[in-house]
Amino acid sequence: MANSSFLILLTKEFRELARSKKLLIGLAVFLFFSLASPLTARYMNEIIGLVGNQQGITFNLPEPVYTDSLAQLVKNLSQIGLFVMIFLVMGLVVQEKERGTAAFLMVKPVSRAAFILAKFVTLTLFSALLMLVSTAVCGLYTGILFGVYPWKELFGIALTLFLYMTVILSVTLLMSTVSRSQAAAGIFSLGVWLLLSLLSQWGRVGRFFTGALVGESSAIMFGMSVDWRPYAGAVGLTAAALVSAVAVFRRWEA
Amino acid sequence: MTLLKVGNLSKTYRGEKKASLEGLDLDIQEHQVFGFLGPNGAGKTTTIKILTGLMSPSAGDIFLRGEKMNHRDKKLRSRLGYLGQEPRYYPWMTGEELLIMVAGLFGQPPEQGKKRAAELLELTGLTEARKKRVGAYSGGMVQRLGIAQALVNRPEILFLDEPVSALDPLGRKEVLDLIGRLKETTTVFMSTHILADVERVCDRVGILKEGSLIALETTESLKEKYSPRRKELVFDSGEGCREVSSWLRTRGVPVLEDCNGTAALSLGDDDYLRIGGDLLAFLASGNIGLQSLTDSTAGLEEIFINLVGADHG
Repeated sequence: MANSSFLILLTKEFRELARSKKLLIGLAVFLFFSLASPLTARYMNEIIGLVGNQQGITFNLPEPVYTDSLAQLVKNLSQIGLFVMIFLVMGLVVQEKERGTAAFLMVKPVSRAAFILAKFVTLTLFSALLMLVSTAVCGLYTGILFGVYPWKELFGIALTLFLYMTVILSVTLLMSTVSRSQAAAGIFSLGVWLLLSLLSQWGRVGRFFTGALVGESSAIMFGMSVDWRPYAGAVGLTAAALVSAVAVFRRWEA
Repeated sequence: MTLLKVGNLSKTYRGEKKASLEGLDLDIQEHQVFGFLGPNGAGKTTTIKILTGLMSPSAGDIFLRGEKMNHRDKKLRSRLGYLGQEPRYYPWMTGEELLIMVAGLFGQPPEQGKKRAAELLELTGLTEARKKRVGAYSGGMVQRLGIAQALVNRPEILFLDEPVSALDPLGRKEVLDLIGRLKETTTVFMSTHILADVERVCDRVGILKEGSLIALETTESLKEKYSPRRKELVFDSGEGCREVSSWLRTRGVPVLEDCNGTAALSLGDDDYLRIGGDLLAFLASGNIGLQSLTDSTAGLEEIFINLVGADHG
């Protein structure tokens, strides 16, 4: 029964994602950036040139290349994309506690770990779907605009950003479990995100923190060797956030 | 037969010195509606949350059919039903989807779940609204859906926390009628502070005050034990009633129910025996018309107020 109740909770999470329009909002935002990134990269010189002409200034800018498109995508998804995702998922647990649906489920023969795990799996698959769609669209559009289809680089970038997003969203899940309001969960999540970015600047130890993953995306883009430490750190941080969320929720009293 | 037995159940919240629940002993009989009464903050919801595994007790034991249970045991949860105070469900789900999901959580195969959902929608009068999203349900419909979801697993005991306090009179009637019918198939443990509802559906009553049980009786024996016998006098006019009331007070006789918008008052049997002759003489001299003089007992509300103290009433 334990497995079946997990699958039922998982199904419920996906239906909620779809019916609450969160899936649609996430897709719309990520698709926008996957189209806007190559477009901005390709025509930025022209835009700057036009502005310069009006002011009587001439800019000598390098010819745009396909890696500019990828760099734009990484920047947009790792910042605005992730911010939107935090906003969409910050209420996952705390909203259920607030409106009493968590108590409604917890008096059924359901394990508290299954409740949190179903949410984690949903988050992970949601991020994976968004990364897959956005990188595929960005790859196609980059190919159309630049004549190069950078699938290999995009695959590495998608995987790296997916891991980056998974860490931050696991932290958001933990904050949603700990907090008493959605706003608090969102603010704490943003705070931890900022902290993890700052810690990644902290010498050798900093290489294990999530912020370093954005740098690894650039390394992949330019065909440089990749450092395994931020990846190992990301897996460790995700596991720690998930285990903590389960432990906190086990102690929760309605 | 005793279905649920609770021994020495206590709860002190973290950071608080005073216990919210102190040494609660209870036994609930099968196929009865048990009314758990108490003023706000007496510990009713805390008790229900502990018994349903939503909260940990600081001490105490729970026995279901004589078997000792861990309050967080899945086995215990598979045998009970629970409807919380002012329940809210997923607004994006339909009533039918919610019940099928709950059936699945109890391990019922999909076909069986659909069948059970249909039975419960019928029982709670929600068949027509089964495809409607819960977000569009009225308060009474949500409450009935709440009872339906709590019955999916055919629970041995159904916990209802203030099931009618947020409903309008029509909704209250619907839900109370349903609760009255439920004791044929299950045992109901219902917390409330609406005494008229207790009188209407409960077989047995427990009264909680500041975390301690101060009475545990059948509704009838509670009335017999705690209700002083009294005389009720009904006059021809409210004016006559008020005159008699003033006269009784000048003689130091406590008036129990005092012409509140009616032409009736009541006084204790002993007091009536003591001043009955003088009273009748006063009525005759003042030409005050008396319609009836009958024996009566206090209602549950008065017993409750006497037991928990007027400050909580």
